[in-house]
Amino acid sequence: MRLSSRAREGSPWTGLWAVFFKEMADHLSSTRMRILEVLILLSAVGAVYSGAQVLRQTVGEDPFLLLRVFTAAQDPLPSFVAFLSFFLPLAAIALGFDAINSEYNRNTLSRVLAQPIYRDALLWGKFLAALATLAVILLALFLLVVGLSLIFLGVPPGGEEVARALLFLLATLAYAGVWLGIALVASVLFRSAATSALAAIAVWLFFALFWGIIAQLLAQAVAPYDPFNPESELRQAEALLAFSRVSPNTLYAEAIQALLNPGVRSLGPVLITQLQGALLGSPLPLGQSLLLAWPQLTGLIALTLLLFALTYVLFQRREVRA
Amino acid sequence: MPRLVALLLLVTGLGLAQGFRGLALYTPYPSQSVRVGETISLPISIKSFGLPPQSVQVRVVEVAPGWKASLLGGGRVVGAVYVLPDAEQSLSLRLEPPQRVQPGTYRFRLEALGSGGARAELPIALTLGQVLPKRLSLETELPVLKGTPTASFRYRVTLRNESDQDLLVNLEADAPQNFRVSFSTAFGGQEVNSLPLKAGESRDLDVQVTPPRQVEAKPYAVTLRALAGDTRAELVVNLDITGQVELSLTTPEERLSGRAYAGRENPIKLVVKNTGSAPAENVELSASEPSGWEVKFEPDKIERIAPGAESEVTARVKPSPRAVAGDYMLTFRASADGASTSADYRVTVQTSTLWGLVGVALIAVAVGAVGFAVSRFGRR
Repeated sequence: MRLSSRAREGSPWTGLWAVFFKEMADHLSSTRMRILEVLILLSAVGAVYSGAQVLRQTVGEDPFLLLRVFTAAQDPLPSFVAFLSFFLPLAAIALGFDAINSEYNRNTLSRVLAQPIYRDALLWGKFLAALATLAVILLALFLLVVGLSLIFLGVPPGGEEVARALLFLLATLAYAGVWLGIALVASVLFRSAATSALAAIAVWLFFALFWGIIAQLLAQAVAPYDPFNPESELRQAEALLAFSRVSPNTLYAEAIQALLNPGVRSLGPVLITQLQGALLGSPLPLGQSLLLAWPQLTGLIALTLLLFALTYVLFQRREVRA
Repeated sequence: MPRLVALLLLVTGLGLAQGFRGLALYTPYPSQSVRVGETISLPISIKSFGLPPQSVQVRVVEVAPGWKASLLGGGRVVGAVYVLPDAEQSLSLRLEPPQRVQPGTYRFRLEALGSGGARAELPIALTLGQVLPKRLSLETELPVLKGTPTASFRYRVTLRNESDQDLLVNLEADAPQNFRVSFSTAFGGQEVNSLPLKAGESRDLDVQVTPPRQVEAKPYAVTLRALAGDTRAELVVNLDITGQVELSLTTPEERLSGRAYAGRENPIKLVVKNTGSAPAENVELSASEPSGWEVKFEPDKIERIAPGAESEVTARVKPSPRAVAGDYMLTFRASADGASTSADYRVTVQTSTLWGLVGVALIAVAVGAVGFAVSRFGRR
């Protein structure tokens, strides 16, 4: 071991695929996965059925019928999108919270690393396997929804609709990646699986429930509202938006709003002067919608990468021969 | 005494004139001129003054040699008329001349005999050969009207029958090619092209001349004609058509929608056409754009567009840098003296992809961070 050398030896990719496929096999055959599959099936069928009912009653003709199936809701069931944004973080946390610490707890880490496998490859493999599992879940769900909506509504989706739906899938995967990253960080930090799961869920709850309130308080503190100055209201709205965009939930919600609703032209406050002469209700082209959701999408992807980098650094600095 | 007699006579005469009792047999014009060779029909009236109701014999007691005279009532030949007190009955006297009748004066006499000695006579004289020729006249007060090709050229024309017989008048017009001329009875009546006109009657007509839309600006003449048999009347009316500018605004491909990038100048080609009949001078272009946008025209003024010609203009549309993506409506306007046109143009505003590159850079930074971590902390 050369302490002076900062440069690494050997490729981090060696043995990556072995870990990846082993982890995938573990995930896909686990009881966790069975539970998730049942949940998925129930929720997809329920959401699509209720959405199709609503559409049949209300919409005569819509160029984006498939996207409407994703977003239409009928009480008491939430829409498919609302369900996904609730369910996916939990699924990602369920797949990632014991990725590393279970190896410690079962004392298998040294055995794995006794193979010609780098630690980075192990971490990469675990991360990618969980992400691929989530992607499989999402794809299955997506195909299920499209198939069901074809059965219920009988209208084939158009090319742009399919493109938008796939981009929506990509955004969802990036969002799931963020939570997977958080779960991985927790699984490196905490030795106990239960603590790690609780910590990850606590983060999720914090962003889902409390961050909205905190963002409001922060916005009021930073840009106080002055009733005699109308601009202060705008400033406060912008500050609130900026603070709430710290949360990945907000980023994801905005991204799918832009992608699934072609009529959305802007995320955030719009001045009435900006809408002068605008023909409201006309759909944006796909490229423009993507451009609108682009910062949110890239933010989610970058956040995933950064969380992985953090996990990596933490994991590399751990003593594994305990 | 003689004075007294005279006074008496005078009084009784007055009394007789006022309290006339007896029959009257009359026609409006007992002596008239007629054309040679035509059968004449005269209206005859019988009136009783203060007589009891009775049947009155009516006869033609004197007929010019060779003529046939018959009294007609209700379409049949009659010989007696029943007259109520102070009432009037009408007959008509039909006089048929012999063939090859000579010009001259012919006399007839009618007699009416009532019961109780009431009696009336009616001498009639017809002079042959001294008749008025058939004549029609067309007149108008305003023979020259001025206006644009789309204006209404409406002439009030008086058609008069200046002869002693009824005529069936045909109306026609000689107009330049593609001009439409229509005659109608005055005050919003029906469109006509022939109408009966009684002797001495006159009729007001409205003549509407519609020039074609694409007509050269100059004076035109339209000849109106009224024909009846071999007689005719002519009237020349004039249209002084002044030129009219008509503009239309479109794009070279006739497509009124396009794209524009927010915060950049986007050229949009426009075509201004003059579809009118007069040259358009100083055509000014303008636009009504959403606030914060800029629209400039090159050139912003067109000196002259000849009739039927067109001219290209480039509009440089610069949406506001803060414009939200999506569709907007712009209205382009072209106006020259008295004529203006507008076109609605649908602009799809696209936002710049610069921020997209920033996003890509952000991901690159994240990947770099991962790469750095791998190279820095990588170990077995």
